Amino acid sequence: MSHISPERLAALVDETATPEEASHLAACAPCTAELAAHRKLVRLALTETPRENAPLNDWASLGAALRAEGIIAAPPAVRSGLSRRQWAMRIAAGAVLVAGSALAGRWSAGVELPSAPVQAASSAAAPTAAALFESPQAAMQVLTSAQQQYSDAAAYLAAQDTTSHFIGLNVNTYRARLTALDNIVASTRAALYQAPQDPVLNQYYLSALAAREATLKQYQAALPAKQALERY
Amino acid sequence: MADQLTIRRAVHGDEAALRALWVQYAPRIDAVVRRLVGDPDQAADVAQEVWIQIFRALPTYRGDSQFGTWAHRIAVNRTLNALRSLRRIGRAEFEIEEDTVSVEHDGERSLLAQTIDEAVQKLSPGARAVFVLHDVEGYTHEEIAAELGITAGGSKSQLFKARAKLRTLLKHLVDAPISQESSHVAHLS
Repeated sequence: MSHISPERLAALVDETATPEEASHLAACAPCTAELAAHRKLVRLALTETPRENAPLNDWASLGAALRAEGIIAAPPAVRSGLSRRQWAMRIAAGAVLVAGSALAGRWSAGVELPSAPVQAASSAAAPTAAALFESPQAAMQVLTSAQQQYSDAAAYLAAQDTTSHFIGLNVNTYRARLTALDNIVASTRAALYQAPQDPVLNQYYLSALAAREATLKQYQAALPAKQALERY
Repeated sequence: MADQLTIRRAVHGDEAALRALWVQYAPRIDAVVRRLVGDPDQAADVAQEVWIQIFRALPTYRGDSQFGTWAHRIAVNRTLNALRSLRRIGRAEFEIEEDTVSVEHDGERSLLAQTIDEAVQKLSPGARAVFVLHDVEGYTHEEIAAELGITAGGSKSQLFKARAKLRTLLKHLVDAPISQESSHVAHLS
């Protein structure tokens, strides 16, 4: 038998040799060497599989293309010509958010709160919601932006330590709050995996995170001078 | 692995989530695009199309497989479509040059590649696609046949020709240390 062809040798990396080919390979060192070279080539190819390179494009160009395709959510359209009533309702809704956040913060600091005004204001703002946005995407964009602002504001307030003057807060109270807030964070995070776009869950999650961070700082400040918080 | 929360946010057009997926998976996805396309400039254009297609299809991702696996399939499919539209791959163009083992006698040392990546770029588009998909990406001949619109037998034939050519181009990397080998190559040619 003459030597085995290169393409057949390449095939024998995957396929079984015929009896005639097998007996030839047993006796022919050059063909055996060629088969070994083909096997080495295939092993070499496998080493390419996990090899990664820098991306072929940058995000600026891809992001622009995705925006043009409408895949990245467009920024909310700014409505012109809102009526005086719509502006009033928008301001009212904002006031509800601010008041609700402030009251929640006071509640978390152990201060007694009045409850009726928040519920009343919420019910007054609800009918206007449909008039404020042009699409669900626009509403989501506003919500995302508001969440970021809320988070920034909470971080700022935490840095200012505005609740330190309230009486009745001590190390034990802070520790209890941290435990409770950890439970809330864990619960809301788990819920967000099921409903990631739910605005109420998002709000609870972000509020709990911000409150936890603030409480942690207060807890650290309340510890005796020589007692440092190593971890919580 | 991409977490489900990131994917869900990306589905809703959250730019940060889309970017996070791209940052995580572009090195791998773009690598297969570059291997299949060959030309770096064309590969960049195709990669952009691939990522737009992946994100456009994101609402159909059900989590049955890893996100990377799902995106990889789209990348291969979209890249092959792009190559077809560039008229670089078609049934008739899947013929590989018949000079499979002629390199050794050409005396053109420049044809010898330094790396397997470089050598693959010297294959015809069809042979390159079959070799990359089978020997690098692990596709079966049946899967390749479905992707390329050829038969499984045709895929095998292309693969063995591609391997034979690469074996010659990468002689210095894959030669077994046996002295008679050079005479064997001459004999085969």
